[in-house]
Amino acid sequence: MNATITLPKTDFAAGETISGVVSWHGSQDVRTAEVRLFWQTQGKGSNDVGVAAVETLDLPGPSGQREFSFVAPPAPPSFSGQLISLVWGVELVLDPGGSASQNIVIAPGGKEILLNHPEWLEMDDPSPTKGLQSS
Amino acid sequence: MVLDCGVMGLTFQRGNLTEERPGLVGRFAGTLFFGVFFLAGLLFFFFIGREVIRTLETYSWPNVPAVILSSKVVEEPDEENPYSVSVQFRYTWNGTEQISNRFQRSLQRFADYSSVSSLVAAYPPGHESECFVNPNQPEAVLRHGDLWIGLFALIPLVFVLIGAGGMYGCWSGGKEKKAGPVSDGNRGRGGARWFGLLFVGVGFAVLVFWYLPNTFHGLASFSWVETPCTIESSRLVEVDSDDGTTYRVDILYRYELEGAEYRSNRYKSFPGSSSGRSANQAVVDRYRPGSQSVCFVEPSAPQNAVLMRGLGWEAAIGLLPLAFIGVGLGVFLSGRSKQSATPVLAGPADMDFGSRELKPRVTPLTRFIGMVFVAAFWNGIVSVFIFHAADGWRQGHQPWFLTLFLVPFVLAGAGFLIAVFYSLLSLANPKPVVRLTPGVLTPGCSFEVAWGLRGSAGRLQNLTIFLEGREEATYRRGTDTLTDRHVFARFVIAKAENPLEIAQGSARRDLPKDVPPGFAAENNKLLWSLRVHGKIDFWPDLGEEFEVQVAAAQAR
Repeated sequence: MNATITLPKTDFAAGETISGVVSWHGSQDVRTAEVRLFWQTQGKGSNDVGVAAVETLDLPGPSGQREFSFVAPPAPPSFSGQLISLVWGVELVLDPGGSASQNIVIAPGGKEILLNHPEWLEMDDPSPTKGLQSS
Repeated sequence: MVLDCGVMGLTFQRGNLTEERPGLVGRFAGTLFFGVFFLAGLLFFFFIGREVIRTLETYSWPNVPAVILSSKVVEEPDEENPYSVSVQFRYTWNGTEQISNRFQRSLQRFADYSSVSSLVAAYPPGHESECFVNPNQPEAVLRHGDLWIGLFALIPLVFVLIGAGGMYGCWSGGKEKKAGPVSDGNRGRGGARWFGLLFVGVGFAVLVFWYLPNTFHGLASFSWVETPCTIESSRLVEVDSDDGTTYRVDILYRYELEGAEYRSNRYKSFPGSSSGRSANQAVVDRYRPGSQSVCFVEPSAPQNAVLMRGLGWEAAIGLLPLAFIGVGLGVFLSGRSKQSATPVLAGPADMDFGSRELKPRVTPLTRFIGMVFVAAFWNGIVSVFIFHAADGWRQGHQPWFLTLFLVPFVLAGAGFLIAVFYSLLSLANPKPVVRLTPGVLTPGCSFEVAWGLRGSAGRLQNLTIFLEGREEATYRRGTDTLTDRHVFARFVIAKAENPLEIAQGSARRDLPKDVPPGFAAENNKLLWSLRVHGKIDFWPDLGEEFEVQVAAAQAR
């Protein structure tokens, strides 16, 4: 199954409309099709995933093309740190037929929040055993 | 972009997608480690399973009349479990008279004399009974045998599952494992749930088949009849296991009740062995062969008797199966709740933007109680092995390996005790009270922190209040769950050295507009905390951490 997601842009601020087109083409008759707006974490921790919105497509069939739209939620924003990154995405899920996904950014000003700002560390930890310990 | 310093929501969510994989060497080492678990468990599971199947087969054998020719208790003092049933019976199969001496298909030995004597009493010479004949070969048994032994298969099954799960974990997971929709990553916690159920099963089996019957036995023995008895034999039995040698007293005594003579070797209600050789030897020495003593006999079943009635220290072991059940239920229920979790968006209605007194993440008292619990649990377990090692040295066995093996565990235990002492001293520190306005911070907006100290604030040399943002990533490595933390922001709010400013004050500052809001998923978190730190000479420093909510910035 060939599935694609087309987005005019990939950077969004909270409250903006995320709209695009999904299309699929194959020999199998697709029973259910969904477009999902989701986030997932990446990095050192075991991954967390959350689905913010789902749009179910009617009568999908073996091939088709549909428009979709979501409103970008306020949180969590896309961010990238030393241990964790949070990535938003739009995913087309076909059953049967698999899935296709496209990463996007949802953050203030449409820019991913970066956590590596040395100026944010205004002081050392006065009790180092508390702040940086592993367990 | 103009920021609205009023409101906006943040998200709490869950789900689990992939694992970070260890390196190749780590995977092979892990496979070897878990492979030993797996194979050992499988081996014991096979032996237990084979016995259960052999017993089950006898249920399909036809039963025919039999006459008992002889029956008695056989004692083999060299065996760990010295007592067994010896029986001979006559039966007719295919028109031919046969004689068999198999009580049940596999020889069952007992440590408890009265268990065997009860079985012998049920099949006295001349008694007409039935036996079960193997139609495929000349083999007959009087009794099917016990199937409950199959429950013990759960124990090696735990090892098999740990081993298989560990080996699977070594080679599976990782980002390349992604299959199917990314947004389905929250599915598939059935394994942990079944593992939890297995724990419940093991705990329940131990509770029902071992702990409760022996507890009831011990409680009932308070009403049993005190009866004179004669000690026939008295010895210390060494029980060898993987954990070393333990000791069990085996005192066989004879007594009469209502004209009939009985024997028992049950010393107390909870059977079993313990590590203290000298304590067990003292019991054996107290009951010399040929000496007179008293035992306590169950009037309705005179073959049941004990030398010491009531519940011993073993009654406390009941906590162990309960702990198994508790842990198992916890794993089962947590797995279930995570499977059914649904996305939640916390909106403005969930938030309090007014002034708010902050709560500490962990109070000093909670920290102290937690440390006491950890230290007691750790040192309680280690002390058993220390006692075992000390007993070995007393006996002249020189258990060097065990002693050296215990050193790091003892040091860790000492560390826990120091931590208990440290947290105990911390209880006397002044308690900071912190009020935040607004109660939920917004990036790009200012906020005010007002503080006061309850207790002897004069002991503090200085006071620092700062806002800290940190990442917390939880991941699994083998069977361990680890959390790494990294601080990405530490904004100073106030520094005070003047006693009056230390005791009470307030400060205002702006939160940079590009900081992230708080985020808390199952394995990954961005946490914001207000930390209060104060230096105290010759005493544990004041260090409190208060949870702070930071909402997402909203453009206007």
